[in-house]
Amino acid sequence: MTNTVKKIFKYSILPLYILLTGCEQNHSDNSRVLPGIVYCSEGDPNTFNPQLTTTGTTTDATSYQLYNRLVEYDPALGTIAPGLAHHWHINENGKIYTFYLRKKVSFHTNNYFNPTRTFNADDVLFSFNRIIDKQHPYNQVSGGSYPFFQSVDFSGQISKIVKVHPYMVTIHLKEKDSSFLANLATNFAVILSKEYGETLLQRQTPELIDTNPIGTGPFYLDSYVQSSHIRYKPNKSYWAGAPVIDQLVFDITPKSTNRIAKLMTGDCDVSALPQSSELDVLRRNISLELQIQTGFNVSYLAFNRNKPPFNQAKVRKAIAHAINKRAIVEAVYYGSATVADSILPPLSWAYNDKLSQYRYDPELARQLLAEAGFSDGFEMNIWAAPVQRIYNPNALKMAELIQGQLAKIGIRVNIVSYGWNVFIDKLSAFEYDSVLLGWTADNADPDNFFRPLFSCASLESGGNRTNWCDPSLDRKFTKAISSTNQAYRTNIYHQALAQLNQELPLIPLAHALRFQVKRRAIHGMPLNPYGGISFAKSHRVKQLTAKKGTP
Amino acid sequence: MWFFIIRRFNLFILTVAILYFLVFLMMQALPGDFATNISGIQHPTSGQLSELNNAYQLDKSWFNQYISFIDQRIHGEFGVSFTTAQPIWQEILTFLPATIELCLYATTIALLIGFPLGIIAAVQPQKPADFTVLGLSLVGYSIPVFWLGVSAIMYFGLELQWLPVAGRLNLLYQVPPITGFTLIDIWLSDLQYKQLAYRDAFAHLIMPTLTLALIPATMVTRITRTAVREELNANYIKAFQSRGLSPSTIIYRHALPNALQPILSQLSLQLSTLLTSAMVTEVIFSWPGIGNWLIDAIYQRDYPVISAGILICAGFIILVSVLTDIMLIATTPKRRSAVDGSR
Repeated sequence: MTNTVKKIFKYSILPLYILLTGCEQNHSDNSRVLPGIVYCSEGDPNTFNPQLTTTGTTTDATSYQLYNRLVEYDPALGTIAPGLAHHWHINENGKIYTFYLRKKVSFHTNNYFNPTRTFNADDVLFSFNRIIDKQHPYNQVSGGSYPFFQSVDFSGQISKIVKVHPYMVTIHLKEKDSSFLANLATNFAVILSKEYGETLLQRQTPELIDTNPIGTGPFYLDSYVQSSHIRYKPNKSYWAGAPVIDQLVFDITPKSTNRIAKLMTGDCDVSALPQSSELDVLRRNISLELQIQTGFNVSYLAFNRNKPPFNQAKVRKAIAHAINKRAIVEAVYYGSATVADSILPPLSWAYNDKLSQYRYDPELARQLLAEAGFSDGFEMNIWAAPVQRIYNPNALKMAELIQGQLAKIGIRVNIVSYGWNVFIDKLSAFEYDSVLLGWTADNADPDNFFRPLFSCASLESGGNRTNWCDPSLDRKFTKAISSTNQAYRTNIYHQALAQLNQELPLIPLAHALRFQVKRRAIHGMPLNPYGGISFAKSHRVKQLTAKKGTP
Repeated sequence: MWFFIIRRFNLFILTVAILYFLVFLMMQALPGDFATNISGIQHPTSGQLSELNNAYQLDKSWFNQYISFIDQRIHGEFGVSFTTAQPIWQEILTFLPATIELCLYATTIALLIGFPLGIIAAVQPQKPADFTVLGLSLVGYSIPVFWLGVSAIMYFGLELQWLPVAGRLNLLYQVPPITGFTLIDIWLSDLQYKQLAYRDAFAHLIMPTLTLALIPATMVTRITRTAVREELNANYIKAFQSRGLSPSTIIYRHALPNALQPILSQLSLQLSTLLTSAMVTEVIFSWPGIGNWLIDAIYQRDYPVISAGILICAGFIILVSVLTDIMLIATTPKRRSAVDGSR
């Protein structure tokens, strides 16, 4: 019956359709003549310089499209690979890193900048000194906040950066730090052009360095229309081989359903962050391909330790026993996540599988609450942001589930929510009782899960949401990064995880899988577990089976 | 005639003044600082504040404020948006053409469909053709726009994947916005693949225009049917019939031209309905027009944009209705005396 209806429908519109499409089978086939790729992104970037931010939306739009780093992370091998430095070595005491720079790497040429020289050591010094040197002319431009670098105490770590000759740079560290190279390979440690910086200073418009970017990356910025699109053109003289595609467009589409619709109808070729609830529809569509990757991320419920009663470990543990993580993974992630028992995902080499688990047990939870003196329960708030993140597709829904689960042990939960920017602003004032947040690792080093979230330094840079600063833990982190011996480091991280599991400043809830969905014809786009998307090698392969199967 | 035009013009001024007053009151009542709401400048510096004081006479009485509010707005000074910090007038200029384009095509289609159907129904009263047309138009009129739009997206977009469901043009076509009308801009651009771009633009147009055209089409059908039937019942038509004029001559030469007057005057009343449906349609099809822009502004509590949107949309409707009024009166002396008793 439905088939007949479909046929009648099809034939009744056929003449009009043929008229308009000129007998072409599928209108997305135009792309044969238009070698470009459209990416449906989830929002506007806040800046075009990833040094200034930690949000994934911004790094997606900038890091791998416009810039390069000294060293790159190779997701396939899990190792550090050459970037703008073709070679590097570390001296015996692990404190001096020497980088040999690539020659003949040119910066972007476009209508606002025309470089006269190629990339050299001056640009490396310029880029890093901007972050670590308070006297640097660009340090305070665009606010002077470098959140990622502050969270790993980048400026405290480096004693000096020296240009040995135009293609050789040495970085001297104060202490040995085995996570240093991994930090240089993150999305944020990009190399800017010193010449461009000087030109802008002369023109007295230094702030343009972050809005009209110049880098060495595979694409240059052609135009950006806020809330509409970002257009990139290929850098024809890209050192690693110019991109095959003619242009790259980021179609800014905040609604997930709209992204999927655009993908299915051919207005987009690749889409960011599909909702877990849409995965079935995507799997059924043969022209689309769903890429899945275990994510290096965690979503958690963090307690504000300065707010009673959350200074009592018993209360925190009671709540841990009252939360049914499995139900949350089912209802919020639709099964596209694994239950987290520590902040480190099981994929990490420092993962501790011998931790005691907080099993779901409301009875025990009520008992613990009574022991802590709250047999009648109490009232608390949970802050949750109304936005979709890689580690948490729907924090509000998660908050509602937790609200229901905690009601069973007599805790009355109020959910508090603001728009993302206001939310982050207000978090810094530590007014909340507890907050649903998460973390996506920037590199494979386990240190990236510890210092940005729990160190005393991260209290100021904003990664530490538990308002918790424990010097003994800080010492462990420092000890761990001062060694390159993996077994030794594993041992320390196991201890740190055990301590965190015991004190429970936050309850890890889930490790989300990472998804990316694209048209099957798009090739050359591996999914990076640490976030960041690269179109440098993407291209379109002519489709053989573009047409949807006819009944 | 001049007397009439002046009267209409006075009415226009008065209505707009009341509209501005209501918006002015709304701005006063909205949460937040009045100076911020009216100018869009958040946390103004003392320099900006004194400029605002100057421009909007914030230190004077409410009447002065009201007058300078009108003064600023009619000079195109709408302040800046909270969310984008861009001048609102600039934003209006980029979004308005998209809405006009959509409404224009939808109205054309509505006339092309509704007019013939209405005539068919009128010349065969109480026959199957009449009932079918009436029934169809009633069904069409009862279908909510958002339901129709979403169903069309579900079926033609997602199920059959024939038509794109969002936006005006695939972003790979780099068409610089000169006039804001996609089809004209493509023509003006130096694009390599104009043919393909046109095809893509048409594909993007089909669903939104047809969705938006539905309700006006049913209205045109019903209005045409009533008007033409009324004319056909008039005595002069009976006289023609008795003289043996052919039915087609009677309809096309005599009944239809006379029926046009009431049709046009009725249609101008439908403009606000059209604009409302256009807003819904724009949201559903992510059409970057004024409705989409306004509804986004409401979500984000962007007060300067909301007030500008109200002023522009309402002002546009008032202007068009006054103009059609004048036009109708100018072409029909009969109405002039009937309505106003003027000479």
